[in-house]
Amino acid sequence: MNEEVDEQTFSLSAGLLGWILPGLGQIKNGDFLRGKLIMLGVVGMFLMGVLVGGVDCVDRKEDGLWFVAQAGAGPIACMTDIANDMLLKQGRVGVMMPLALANGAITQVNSFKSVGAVNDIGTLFTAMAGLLNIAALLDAMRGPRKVAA
Amino acid sequence: MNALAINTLAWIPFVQPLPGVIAWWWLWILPMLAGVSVTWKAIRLTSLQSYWRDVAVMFGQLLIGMIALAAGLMLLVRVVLPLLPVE
Repeated sequence: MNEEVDEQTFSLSAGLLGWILPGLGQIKNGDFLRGKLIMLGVVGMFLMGVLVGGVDCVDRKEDGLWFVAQAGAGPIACMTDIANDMLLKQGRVGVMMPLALANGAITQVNSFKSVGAVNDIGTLFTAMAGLLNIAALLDAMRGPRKVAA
Repeated sequence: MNALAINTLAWIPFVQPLPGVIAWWWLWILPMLAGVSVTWKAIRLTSLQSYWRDVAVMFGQLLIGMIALAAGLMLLVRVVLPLLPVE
């Protein structure tokens, strides 16, 4: 019986690099063009989401489940969440306005908070970027692609 | 100068939501499909020789799929559901 042994390589460092900066895992594996294309797609989608929805579309406390997907895009998601906390929630930009909740309580929201379809688009773009980067970093962890003989 | 123009001039990119999006929110499906196609094909293709052609094909397939899904849902909501008996 002719046994073909397929050497599986596993590179945790490529996965980690791919999480730190999308596409960096593929670049570490020597696949520069693929890495650049993944970087273009993931970072482009994430930035477009924040451009449309503002920093408010990444919110770890209010949209925790969405943040799980967004965090796949790497530190850029965490930095956007921190920016949301520091700028909008602490009122450093915009105007803090009172908002009556359904239970009668009054809370403060920033006038720059995104709502409705704008927030949906921003959240969806950033979450899609995160999920696609998880697929990309799993691909990077498999190690360099084998060239067909 | 109308309100949208004033809001756009006062807009702070990446901090404030983009003004004027609500009226044409569905058009944002196009850049999203482009982003998904560019990333997915970069991950999946073994060879990148016909990369942009494959990206264009996937973009078209996703777009047709989304249009079909929207048309199906519209038929369901506007034609099928009103035919159901009201109790």
